[in-house]
Amino acid sequence: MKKIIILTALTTLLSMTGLMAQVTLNCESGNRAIEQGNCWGFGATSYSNTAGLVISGSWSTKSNSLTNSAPTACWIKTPWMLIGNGNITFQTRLDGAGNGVSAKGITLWYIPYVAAAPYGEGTPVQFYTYDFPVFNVTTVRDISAPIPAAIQNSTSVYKIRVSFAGTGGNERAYSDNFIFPGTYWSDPANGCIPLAVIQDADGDGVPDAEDAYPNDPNRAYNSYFPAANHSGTLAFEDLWPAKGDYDFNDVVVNYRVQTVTNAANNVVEVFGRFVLRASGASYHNGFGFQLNGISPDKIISVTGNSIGGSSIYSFLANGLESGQTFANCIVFDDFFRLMPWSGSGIGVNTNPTAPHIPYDTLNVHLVFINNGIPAPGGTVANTQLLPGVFNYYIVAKKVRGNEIHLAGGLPTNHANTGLFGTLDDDSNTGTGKYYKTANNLPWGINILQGFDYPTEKTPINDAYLHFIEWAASAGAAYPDWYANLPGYRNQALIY
Amino acid sequence: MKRFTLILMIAAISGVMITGCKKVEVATPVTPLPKTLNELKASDAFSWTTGNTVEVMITGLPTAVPVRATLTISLADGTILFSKLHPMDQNLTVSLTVPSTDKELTLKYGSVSYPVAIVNNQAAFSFIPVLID
Repeated sequence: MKKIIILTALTTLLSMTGLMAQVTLNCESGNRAIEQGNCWGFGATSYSNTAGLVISGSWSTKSNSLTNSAPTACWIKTPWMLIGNGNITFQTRLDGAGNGVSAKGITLWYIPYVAAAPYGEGTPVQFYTYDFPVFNVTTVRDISAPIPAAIQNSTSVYKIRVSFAGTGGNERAYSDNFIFPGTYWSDPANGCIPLAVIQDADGDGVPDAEDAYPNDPNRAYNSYFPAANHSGTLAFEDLWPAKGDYDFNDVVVNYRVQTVTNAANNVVEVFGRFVLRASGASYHNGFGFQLNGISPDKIISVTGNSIGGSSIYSFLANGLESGQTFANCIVFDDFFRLMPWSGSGIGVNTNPTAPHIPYDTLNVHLVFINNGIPAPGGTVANTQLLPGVFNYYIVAKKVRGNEIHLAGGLPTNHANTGLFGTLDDDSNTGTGKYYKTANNLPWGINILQGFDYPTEKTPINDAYLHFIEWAASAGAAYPDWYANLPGYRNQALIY
Repeated sequence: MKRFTLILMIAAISGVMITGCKKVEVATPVTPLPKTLNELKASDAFSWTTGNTVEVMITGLPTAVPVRATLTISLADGTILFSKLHPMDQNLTVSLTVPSTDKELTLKYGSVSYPVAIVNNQAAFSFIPVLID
């Protein structure tokens, strides 16, 4: 559907019904920046709340001293408007008594829109003049200027400029209660250019130019984590609750998440791309994630994950794991089922002398809204499914309760909390500390920029020479410790 | 002898002067960097990721007419972290995970882009313009 805004019909209708809109300025926001954000222009003119000079309410406009006869010295400009008919009205006064020789005045101009001109402003055309009297100038004057026939009810857009000018004396002009017959036609979201005809082929309210799916009313936007053009890396140790060898290669998975949302800012679907890279382990480990705070009935279906025939997991009809308060997606149940051991070395792809096993990729698809119809549990707003909600973990040894999260990760309903606080683990449900040692060391790390993991049995700090500085400083020192820079790596210890 | 006495006096005075100007060394405790991960004690709050949670705070502008446009928040490489159809007059606070090496986000509203610096894990932006007189 092509949504076309018909300017002529609108203005004609408004004129005929006597409901022609007005664009007004009464300064009562007290903050000129708000009007400027709404596409008003001010030249050497500010807002004032000086008692005795304000014309009405609490605020009026105040020009600089009118010592320049140029119309471009002090001015107020409307936003782009579809000009109506009738009179432009406002009130004005000067702040001095007048000395009999000062010449101060106001001129009104209309400015046509010329796309190629600076700010789109064509040559101003003067259509009204008012001269202040030379005595008793502090008296409030009511100005009423007829709109010239040339621009009345035009389908072209114009600005109106009110210019204050003068010579002799330092009086300033105070003005208020501006009323400009016509319709506001600026676009604050687009640099205050005139409102344009909106092309919205799918009619979802998102202009085609901003719509990632211009022909699909059920989709509008994509967002990515950690990036659109590269993956992050999740790297785990699997001996929890005992500390491991800190080679962080017992399960290594690259990940990238694309979230699709609609014009109502609800999540439509999530695409998770998971690349299985290495498992320097003897245990058979699985991998998944919990969507913290998202109940399972908010998701219609999960596909693309890989679960073997004799799984330790049980699932709901929608493909999520059963028995969970929050949605849990098991991406794979056994790394070695997908990437079998080569028969040499420990695990897969951690010993440089063992054969390299090609990576396996799983494209997991979570559907939240299907053809515009949300899951039984209702919609999920895009602000509810931010990257921090994705709580990744491995399940070690094919023992369901033996789940191992990134540092601080909330355990799922199936975690064996009886292991908390045993061996090297210092998890404590009372304090909310999870999956850290007493010294706050983790069993998993998340490198958003991607990560070349260490070889088997190589502590990560032997391979990455600034890892300890990074960790000891809570991330402040060497935030790029993973980078391939001189002095950063022992390349011989990296797979 | 007189000459020797003079030298001694100069030396003594110089010694006093030098001693008087000597900078007082204040011992500052230096925590040695751990050599192994087993020696390392990390901060309670450390998340062990190379990203930071950045709170993006957007202040709306009271608008003369309803204005809605697409708001996107992106990384320097163009990656869109967050998108929504957003009324310009509404405030918004959203927590995003941003690579810790990124010091700036790009906020785009409609067709206009604005750089927004990340300071202390916060990125603040207002649709109300800053006036330059």
